Amino acid sequence: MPIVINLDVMLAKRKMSLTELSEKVGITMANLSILKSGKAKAIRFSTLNEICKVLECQPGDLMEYLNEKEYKKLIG
Amino acid sequence: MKRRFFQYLKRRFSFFRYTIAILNLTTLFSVLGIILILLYVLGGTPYINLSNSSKLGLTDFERGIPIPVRIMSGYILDSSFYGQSAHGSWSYSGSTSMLSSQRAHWDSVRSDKDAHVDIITTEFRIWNGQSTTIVGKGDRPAYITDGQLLSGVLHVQTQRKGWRLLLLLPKLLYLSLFAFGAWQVARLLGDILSGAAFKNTNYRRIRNIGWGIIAWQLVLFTLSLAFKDWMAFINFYSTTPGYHSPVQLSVAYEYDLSFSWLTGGGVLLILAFAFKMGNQLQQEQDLTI
Repeated sequence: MPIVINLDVMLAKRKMSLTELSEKVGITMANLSILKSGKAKAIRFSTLNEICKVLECQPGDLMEYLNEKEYKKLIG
Repeated sequence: MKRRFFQYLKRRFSFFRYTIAILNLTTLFSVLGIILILLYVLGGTPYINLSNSSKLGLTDFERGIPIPVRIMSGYILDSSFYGQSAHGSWSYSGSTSMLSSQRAHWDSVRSDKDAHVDIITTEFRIWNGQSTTIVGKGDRPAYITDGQLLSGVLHVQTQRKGWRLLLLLPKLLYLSLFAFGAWQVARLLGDILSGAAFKNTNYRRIRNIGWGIIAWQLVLFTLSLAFKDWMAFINFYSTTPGYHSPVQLSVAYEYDLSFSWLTGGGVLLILAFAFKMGNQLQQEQDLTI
């Protein structure tokens, strides 16, 4: 899917680990890993709300739409 | 405390757990039945003698291969069935024997003189249609006013392995399907119990049982068409000139497709489709954060 999750970028900007985010948001590490790796099929508004609150960012900062060309280039 | 106790009871004595245990036992006994039947086909004895009077195993096979038969025509008008020939004998106990002229004709009834059946005995209880008093209470006893025989069992003995296998094929198919079905349902219930009802394998299990039932019906129907002429001699009560036969018996091989079984198989296929959809939804649910 050409929607890319930039969670790792936001985590680096906020200097926060995945474990810390997991504790603050209240989501399991396994689920956060699914989200981070781009395997997730959907994200609940409540989850998005919590992540944005903790990372002090907009939903657009966490995900990005790429066109086919850009996406293929990213995947390699 | 009380709640915990009930939860413990629920866990410990779950209906599902008992059902799974029963299904596993069913599978075990079905497989055992298949082994014993194959043993009989190969010339062995499918039961063991525990003592002079008691036996364990497929004791019904002592008298021959039990074959379910059904009556093709309605009422039983006569119950004098007894036949003997150089090739073997047929008998029905508890009735008057045939006249010698009838018996002579009986010998000519068989269309296939080289039939491989040595002995056929019948196990029919035949009412003659007259009102018969049966046990009743008070001043209003019950009566049988309309005696009718619809089905029964023939016991057939033959030494030929091919014929044994042929006659027992429907039983073997049925037991195989039963063993497979019970085993699959037990595993399905196990998954439901562990909260993984919509696992990828479960819809395949239901689908396989559904197709198994449909295939079983079609195989039996095909067999009945293929072996109809071979088995015709067992239909020895068919109407013959010079002897008014009261009933026509037909062996189970003359098989009509069972609408109920086919419907059951179809319903399982629909259920399998529903489980497949459930599996897709479950996958989506698992990947929703």
